[in-house]
Amino acid sequence: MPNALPPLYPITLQHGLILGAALFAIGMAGALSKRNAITVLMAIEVMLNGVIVTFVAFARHAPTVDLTGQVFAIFIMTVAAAEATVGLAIVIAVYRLRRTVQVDAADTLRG
Amino acid sequence: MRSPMLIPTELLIAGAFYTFAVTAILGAIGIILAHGIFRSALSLVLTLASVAAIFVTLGADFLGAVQVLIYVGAIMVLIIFGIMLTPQQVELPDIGGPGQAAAAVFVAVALFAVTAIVVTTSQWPRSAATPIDRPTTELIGIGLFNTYVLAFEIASVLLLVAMIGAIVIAREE
Amino acid sequence: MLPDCPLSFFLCDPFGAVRGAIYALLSAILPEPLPVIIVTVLAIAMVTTVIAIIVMSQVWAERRIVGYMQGRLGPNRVGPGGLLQGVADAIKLLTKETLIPREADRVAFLLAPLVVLVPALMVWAVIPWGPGLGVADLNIGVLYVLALGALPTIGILMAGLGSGNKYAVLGGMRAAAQLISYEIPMVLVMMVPVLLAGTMSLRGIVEEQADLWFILALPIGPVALLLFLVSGIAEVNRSPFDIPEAESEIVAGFHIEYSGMGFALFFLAEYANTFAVSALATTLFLGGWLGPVLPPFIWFFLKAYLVFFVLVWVRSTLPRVRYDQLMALAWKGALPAALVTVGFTAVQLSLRLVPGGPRG
Repeated sequence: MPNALPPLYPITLQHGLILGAALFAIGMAGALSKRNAITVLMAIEVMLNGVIVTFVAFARHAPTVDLTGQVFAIFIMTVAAAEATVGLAIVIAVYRLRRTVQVDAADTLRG
Repeated sequence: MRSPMLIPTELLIAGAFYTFAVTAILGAIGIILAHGIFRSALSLVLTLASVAAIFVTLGADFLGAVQVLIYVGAIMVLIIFGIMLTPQQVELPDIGGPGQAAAAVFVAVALFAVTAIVVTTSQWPRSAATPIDRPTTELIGIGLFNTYVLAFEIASVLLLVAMIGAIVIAREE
Repeated sequence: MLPDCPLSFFLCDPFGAVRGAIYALLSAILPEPLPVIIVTVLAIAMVTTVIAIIVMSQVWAERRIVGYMQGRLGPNRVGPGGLLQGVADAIKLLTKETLIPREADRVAFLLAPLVVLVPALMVWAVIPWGPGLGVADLNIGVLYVLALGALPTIGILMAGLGSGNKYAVLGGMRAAAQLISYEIPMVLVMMVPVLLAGTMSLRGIVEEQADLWFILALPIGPVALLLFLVSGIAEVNRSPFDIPEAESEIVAGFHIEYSGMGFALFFLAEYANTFAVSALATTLFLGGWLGPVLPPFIWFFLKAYLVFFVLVWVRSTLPRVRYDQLMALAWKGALPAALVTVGFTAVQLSLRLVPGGPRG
């Protein structure tokens, strides 16, 4: 049983965490249910953004003035950029072979 | 003479946070529900821009600008280029049918419910609660080059590897 | 407080004094935060009006100057000496019918001019026109400008993809590739004044130039300004880098299907962006509003119009570059030059050859 729902204002840590969890969940729903590989990549970006919001919320409400959360958020953005780049390169390479970007297009190794 | 505050700062920040939280969530749902992949990309732009505004309300000014510069300005351009280079001639039916979509939504809702319950029932330590007066740029820079310099160097190598890998994979033979 | 101003504060910085007076008056009668909001709204209204007038003057000035350089008169019929040419152009564009092609994606087609125009106007929020004048002073001013410079790329892709025209798609892709290629040298070169001033706030950068304008910080100053102007011209799609929008290049590229209001917004965005690049060049390298005797905002506009004149001069002199030459210039010319410039600046600062560096 929730013993204390957070008050409407001021914005506390729990608001940020719930928003991050919501973005992560919506991104996950999209990543699991869409058939276009690029849409799945976009949903993964939403999931990563949810994680970044969580980190920034922790950095804002830390017991001491500590910006570790924001530094980590920069690293997450870096990794997200690298992953989107390589992911799209793979999608384009598969498209050249199969003329489609469906997520189950590359199934030559299916046993 | 100092005039009295009509609207406290905390209320303004809360209003901004809620507004952009709603736009971010609507944009995220829009990616799933939009018809056509280009509309999904535009919804993602809305989500990423809203998240940048949320960063500013959470006191991360540098991170908000960097989010717009990198996510909206570069990664979205990359994704839209990918959409342009892979036009779908034929709209094929769903892989798993409506059952898969329902299962995905159920899993997502369950995950969110568990996380929300944990967040609201935990005892979080009292936050410092004083807004950071110094601009965050300097503090982030100090953190990047002192404590986290190893991760910084590895991130730059990671970007180099990703760049070379993407060029090699996507090259026309 | 005000360098080299022998007259009173009001005469040297009239707008700053007026803003301070209005704020003091409002603080006495209204509770916070209303005075700040009202003063900011007034500043925004003034900035927007001034930009509208500047764009009208740019339309006239550019065509007039290009005409004289080509040995002919420019527009001289509408109004005294042709000064109302901008107004005439605006009225012509606004009275044309807005056609939306049948195959177009309505949301993308109609929103694209806004996504290109709004960042061009938002940039003006941080550019200081005088010591007390400017809408806002962000401590991440330079980064804010860079972030807004990355947004029109999305708008151009929306215009290209949303027009339902294969030539527009090609034009949009080429334009987006050009913009992202020149974004990197621009980001790097804009770090040179940030390194020299030790702050990313534009007002702080201008104040740090009180002793030495950054263009005079040899040998990196002129090189950085040159690279900034080259990247800036490419970022705003101006000649000689105006492949995306020239009529002879795949039928005007990404805005082939736009008429009337949409085209007017693209047009307005391009001129506002051009003047923003000129204003940023003066703020970052030429000392912004600093100068003896005259009021600061007059110095600012004098310098900004001088840079704009140089941009028009470049337009009327150089032929349009070919697309592969454009890309080669970005990746094999501007980017290595920008990297070397930033590295050299950092070396010079650490060896104390140039004044500047992080404050405190």
